[in-house]
Amino acid sequence: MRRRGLKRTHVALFVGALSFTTAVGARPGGGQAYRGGSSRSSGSSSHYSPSSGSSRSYGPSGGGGDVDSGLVLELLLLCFRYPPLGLLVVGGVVGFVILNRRRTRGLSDWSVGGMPARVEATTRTTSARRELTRLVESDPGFSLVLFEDFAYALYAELEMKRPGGELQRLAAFLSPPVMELLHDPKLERVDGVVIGAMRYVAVDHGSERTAVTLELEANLSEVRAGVVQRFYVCDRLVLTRARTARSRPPGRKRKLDCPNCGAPLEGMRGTTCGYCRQEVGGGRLDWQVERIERLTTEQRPPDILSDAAESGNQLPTLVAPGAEQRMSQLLARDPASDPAALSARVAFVFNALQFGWSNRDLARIRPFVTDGLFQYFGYWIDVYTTVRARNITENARILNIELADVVADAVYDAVTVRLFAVSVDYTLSDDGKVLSGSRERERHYSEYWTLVRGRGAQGRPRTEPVCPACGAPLDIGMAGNCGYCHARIVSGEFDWVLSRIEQDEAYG
Amino acid sequence: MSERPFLEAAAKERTSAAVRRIEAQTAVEVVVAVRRRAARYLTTSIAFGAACAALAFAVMWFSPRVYDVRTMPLDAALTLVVGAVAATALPGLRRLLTPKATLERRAQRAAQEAFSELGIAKTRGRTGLLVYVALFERAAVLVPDSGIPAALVTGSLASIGRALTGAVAALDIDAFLAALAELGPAAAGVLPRRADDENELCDDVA
Ligand SMILES: [Zn+2]
Ligand SMILES: [Zn+2]
Repeated sequence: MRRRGLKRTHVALFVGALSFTTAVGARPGGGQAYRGGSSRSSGSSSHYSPSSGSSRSYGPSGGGGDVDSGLVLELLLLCFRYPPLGLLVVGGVVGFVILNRRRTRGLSDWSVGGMPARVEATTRTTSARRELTRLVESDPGFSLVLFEDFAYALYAELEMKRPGGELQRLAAFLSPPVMELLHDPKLERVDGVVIGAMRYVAVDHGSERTAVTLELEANLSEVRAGVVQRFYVCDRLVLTRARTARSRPPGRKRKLDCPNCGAPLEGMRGTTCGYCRQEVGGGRLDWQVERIERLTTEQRPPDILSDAAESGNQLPTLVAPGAEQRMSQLLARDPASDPAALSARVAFVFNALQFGWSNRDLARIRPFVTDGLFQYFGYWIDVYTTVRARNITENARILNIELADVVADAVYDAVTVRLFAVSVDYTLSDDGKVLSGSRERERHYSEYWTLVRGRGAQGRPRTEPVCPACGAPLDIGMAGNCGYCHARIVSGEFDWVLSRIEQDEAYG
Repeated sequence: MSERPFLEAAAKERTSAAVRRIEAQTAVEVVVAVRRRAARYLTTSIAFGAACAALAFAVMWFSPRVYDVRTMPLDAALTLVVGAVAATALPGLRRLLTPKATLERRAQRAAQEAFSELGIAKTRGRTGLLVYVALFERAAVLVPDSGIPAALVTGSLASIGRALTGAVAALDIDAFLAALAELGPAAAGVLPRRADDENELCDDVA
């Protein structure tokens, strides 16, 4: 009714103008106005007010003989016909929008609580990790990346070798109580060990020994009495090493062999090497597992639906002191690894990971991640497969990349960047139900990514799917070797590979 | 009435302090999430636009004035757009037009989503509690994790939930914080704070 009232007003105001214009043919709105009288012949093409039957009626305040094109249209036309009125309307709308903007500027959604405990706990974890790097002071060959590789390999081996008398082979790396604890006569076979996460609990630089306490989450397939059972476990390990011990030379860095001479472990008699005749146990020359403790055992896979925390992405980027300077040192050694080229590599790896993750396709991920991170992806993709679900990240894209840290040790260069990204993120069951997240809403998040590359490597980080060693199209087996040249490309000896992904609240 | 008091940085700080006080008393890990709205209500806007269009059509039809029948559908369509845009631009209007039950349902659903998104189920004792505030919906929703005793959920939590909703409905941040503070003593009796509480969650990736 208000519209009609308005119309009457304007009719009254502009009655003179209207009487001239109503009979004019074309209007901006495209409607044809014509005298109502002539419409009789066209019958249904024109509407007549019911009160006047089929005879032509004039509006109560109508300018006489005009036909309107509609309520809103008429207003619109009026705005065009009388620009001051049009400007007023446009001004009003723009003003409303601007005022609205101003009123809500700086106001945004927020969440508080719960998180501080999380941050504290995880900061402790990462600071322990940082503490471990101090070993370089007494052992210049020490490399954190290699230590972590070693810890992963040792843990997998000690689980795999539990059946039978196999553990004897690892005597150089296990303390006697650990050997005893791990011995399980009922265990026939271990089919698989996949490590989902490794956390640093504590690092203690004692005067005689360095002790590192780690927690590992793993998925074990054990066979007892012919039955395969899967366990999701969390184990706590204490690794110790004499202060006088030195890291292995890079040539022997990835093998579990005699800590003294590098002979195969098959030749071990107790903790004495059959080749060099040296007593090599007790953590004198290399890390040994001094204690092991099983914290939790579950037969059900971990809850995937609660694995979606997103906090801290508004926090400023934690840039390590001196990071810029170390970046320029890296650039001096290898000008091709400039920030732009590294960012391009990060984006390339990012896309490969999104695809592999959403499709539970580990082969896509394999060429770009170190063994440890690959195990992590394998663990979680296996969990998702077990519960028949997929975590899908659609339309994922990087918004920004910031440098957070550059570290060089004897063997590796490591670059940590903070990556800001956005994607649709939801978990879909295999029968098509959305279990968590939203299919429509995009989620912003940020993560700290650490890429590593062997100190010997040089050149532009690759952004095309080719083997960094021989240039053949990428065809990488699950062990990380090129199908053509057989070079192992996932250890970072040829190009930057991703070794860690840390959430904002975990990085520090 | 303005939603501003709930969205300002000061509100966040005061809430954060209140949460710390609660967690000093109880093992319940409280997370407060304030959202401007839980859903967009596009259907409401479009339905309103359609109603405007129908009304415009009726006015044109029954009006003693004569309207060109060829432009009438165009005019109705325009009215629909204008109506829908108006409902979108004016939250108050949109809220008035949306059934109360729908508002509540949307707030409930968004709260459940936020619960998983914020990772509240990650506490070891499953003692997380989400206080979800949807300002547009004028609603406060409590989502307790499975480790919080049912007696607490149906008892004092329910009455605190009502007080919180009342405060949000009145857009009264002081009343909201007062009701929130009651969570501490209410939960402390059932789930007192343990000595090892700060060692919970240790959940970094890789
Ligand atoms: Zn030897
Ligand atoms: Zn190759």
